[in-house]
Parts: sequence; C-alpha cells; structure tokens
Amino acid sequence: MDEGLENAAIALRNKMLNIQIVANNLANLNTTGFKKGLAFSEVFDEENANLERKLTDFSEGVFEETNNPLNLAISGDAFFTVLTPEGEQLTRCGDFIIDPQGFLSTREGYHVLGQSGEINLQEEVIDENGAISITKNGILKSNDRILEKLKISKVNNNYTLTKDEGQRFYNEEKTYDLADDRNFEIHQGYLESSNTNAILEMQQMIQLQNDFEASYKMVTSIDSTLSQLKDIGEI
Amino acid sequence: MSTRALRTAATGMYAQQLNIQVISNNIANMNTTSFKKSRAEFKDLIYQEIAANPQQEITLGTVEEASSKIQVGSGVKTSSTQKIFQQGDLQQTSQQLDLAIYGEGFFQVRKSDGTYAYTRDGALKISSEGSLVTADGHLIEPGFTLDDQVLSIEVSGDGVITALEVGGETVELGTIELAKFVNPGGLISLGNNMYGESEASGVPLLGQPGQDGFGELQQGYLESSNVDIVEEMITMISAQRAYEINSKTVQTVEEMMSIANNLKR
Repeated sequence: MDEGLENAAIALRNKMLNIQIVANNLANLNTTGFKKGLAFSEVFDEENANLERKLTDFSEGVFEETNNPLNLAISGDAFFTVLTPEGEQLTRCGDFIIDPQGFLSTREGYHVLGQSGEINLQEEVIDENGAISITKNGILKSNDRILEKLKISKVNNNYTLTKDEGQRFYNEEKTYDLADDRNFEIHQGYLESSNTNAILEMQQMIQLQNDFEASYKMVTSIDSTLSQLKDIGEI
Repeated sequence: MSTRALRTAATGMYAQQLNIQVISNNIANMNTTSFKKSRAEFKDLIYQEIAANPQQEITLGTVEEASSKIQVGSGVKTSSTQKIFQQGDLQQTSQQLDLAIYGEGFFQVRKSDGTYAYTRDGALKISSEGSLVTADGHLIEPGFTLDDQVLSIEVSGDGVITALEVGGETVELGTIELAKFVNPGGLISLGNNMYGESEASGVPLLGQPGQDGFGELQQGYLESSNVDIVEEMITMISAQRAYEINSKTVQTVEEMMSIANNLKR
C-alpha cells in the first residue's frame, strides 16, 4: 500500500479516537472529581515511543459548596483511597455516604480507607450522638474525639495512573504512598467539580474536525494522483 | 468505532436532561415550606484501552507496551440525586403551632402504616383527639395530647411544651424530640415534605432540641424553602449549555462520518 495513503488513514483513525476523548470530556462536564482526558498526537514514532505520555489532565477542578458533612474535597496533589474488589484505588470524588454496615463508603459502595483500614462509624455515632467533623489534615472527629485519619495517597507521577469508571484511578501495583500533611488540605462540605473546560474542548473539537477534513483531502488527492499514474501506464 | 463517540455524547445529553428535571423540581418548590433542594450527581463510565499507534508492529508472544495505549471513555451516568440540607430562612407567622427548626434535625412522624418518616415542616395542627399532628395529619412522635382545658401552648427553644390552662395554671406537657442523621443527604424523599430513612442516611438519632448539635425550635416561625432562584437559574443555564455542547459532539461526529463515507468515490 502507498505510504502516503496509509499515513492519511492513520490520521483519520486517530482524529476519530481523539473525538471520542473530547466527547467523553464533554459528557462529564458536571461529574464530580472528573479528570479530563488529553487528545494524543499521531506522531508517536519509534524515537518518541518511550516519552512520558500525558493522557489525563490532573489539574484541580473548582470547589462547590454542598454543606453535606460527608462531602469532601482535596486541594493539593493527593487522592482519597478506596477499597475495591480489584484492590486499592484512588479518587478525587469525595461524595461519600455511610453504608448499611456503618462503613464510610463511596456511592457505589466501596469502602473509604483510613490509615488503619476501613472506617466504621456506626457505633461512634450511636454512642456519641454527634456529627462527624473532618479536619484539614483528614482526621475524623466525633465530638472532638479522634476516630481515625483518612488515608490520603499520592503518586509520584500521576501519569502512571490508569482511569477506571466512577472517577477512580489505579496503578499496576495498587499500592500508593501516603501524602505529606503539608501537601494537601481537606475541605468538608465541598465537592470538586469536573476539570473539563467546555470552551477548550469545543475549540479542540473544531480543530479535530478540520484536521479530519484535511486528511480526507489528502486521501482523495493521493487517490487521484495514483489513478493518473495508472493512466500514464496505459498510454 | 465512531458510534462510540455518538453514544458518549448521548449519555451526556441524557444526564443533562435528568439534571434539568432536578432543577425544575427545585424551582417548582421554591415556596414550599421547609423544602430542601436537590442536586444531581454524575459518574463517568468505563474506559477502554486502545492502541494509540497501529503502525507499530506487534510481535506475537510479546506483551504490548502499556505506554502505547490510550484510554477512551464511554460517557457519563447519573449516579444519584443528593438533597442539600442547608438552612432555609425563617419566616414569622405568629401561629403558636408553627415550629421551625433552626439548625440540624427533623420532627419524627408516624405515618398511617406505622412506619416513621421525618420532616422539617413544622406547620403543626391539633387533631380531633387532641394530638399534635403535621398538616397532613401524621402524628408527631414522641407526642402528647392536649385536653380541652388548654388555652394556649408555649414551646421553648429546647422543645419543652408548656400549656396555659383555663384558670391560669401552667402545666408542662412534655418535650418534642428531634431526629438527626449522619448523612441527611442520603435520606429518601417521600413527598409531602417528608423523608424516609435509607441505607445511605444511616439510622436516626433522637435527641433534645438545642443540645448535642440538634437545632433549636422557634415557635411562631416556619422554615422557607432553601431554593435560591438565582443559583437554580445559573445551574439551569449551565445544564442547557452542557446539553447543547453534547449535541454539537453528535453533529461533529456525524459530519466526520459522512466525510469518511465519501472517501470511496
């Protein structure tokens, strides 16, 4: 096959894949703790194959006040740690609930981890008649009595993280370092909104569509050149 | 493969449609006593790994390099709607049976089927049997009865009810208790300003008003809806824009697909 034609075909395919990433970013415009995917360039040749590839933008979303004591937002480069059947995973979506067994958990029912394991709040609440307060450092208190400290994790290189549904992330080892208290702050009663910027995504979508058309033009012009070549042969 | 982008955009449009429904219910209840606004919560859907560079030759028997893959998401879903129990403004009504809770807590009411429900709507009435009931006739628990000797009642901030009887005597009738939840956002809306306990809310804790973090009672006041019309309008505009943007994705992908269709002359 002609190399020019092949390159144009790959460009067409990659623009289409990128549109899917943009479509997903826009669909998640209002998803708490969502981190947008970055469109990739098709010029990954052999020399650049080992370059660190940034596939997710981990920049912080805007904090929205909800006044729910079990809504938490983290400012700083750190994550909540949750226990899933596949092992420990990370999330920035701090929309938590108390599950029927009394565990602090995500809306999907995955338990949120503290530094000494899962956090059961049932008995505390019944005994003390008090609400839960969470300090900037992630310490859970009931009536000023310290219960547990949230396991706030960090990853040295966020780009090693893979995305999972429900705004969760994981690395291959499923183990993460504890974040330093100085590097994050927990805000109780707030949620972090999606970091998708609609204007930037729209701009990217227009760009992708134009590039797609350009690649299309390339295919048709190579095609007509080839057919002219064929005609030369016939003379 | 391009139909995935279409489906992704469709999930985005569907989520925004639900968002608009939540907002319109908030606006419809902007004058409902003690109404608490809701907000829709969204979750992203599964991601699929796709090789970013199909040009790279794949040798059989070797593991493909992880870095050569990209993750493509498949959209969004509405995971839940969350009630926001922000305090509403207190409105003076001067009715002795109008009680507003200033702070956390709910009145516990017993429904006709015997189960408990919780409400912050303190527009109370006296039933024909002399019991304290909500506007819909549900009993307040723990409750008490008033006899025909009572001229007026007074409710203190900590829920103690004293009655002024014929002849000028004052009698203490009892205390109104409030129920509190660790995660009130998880309560189920039952309609008629009532909420039901759920797995997400946790179990109710009963206590006296004004103590242990329970709110105080204000006699002669009602709590108005906590819907802020300006905020709702802004959310509605942003939901509408998000809907439009997702429809633009549909349009763009459709145009790209039609271009692709023209590749073969």
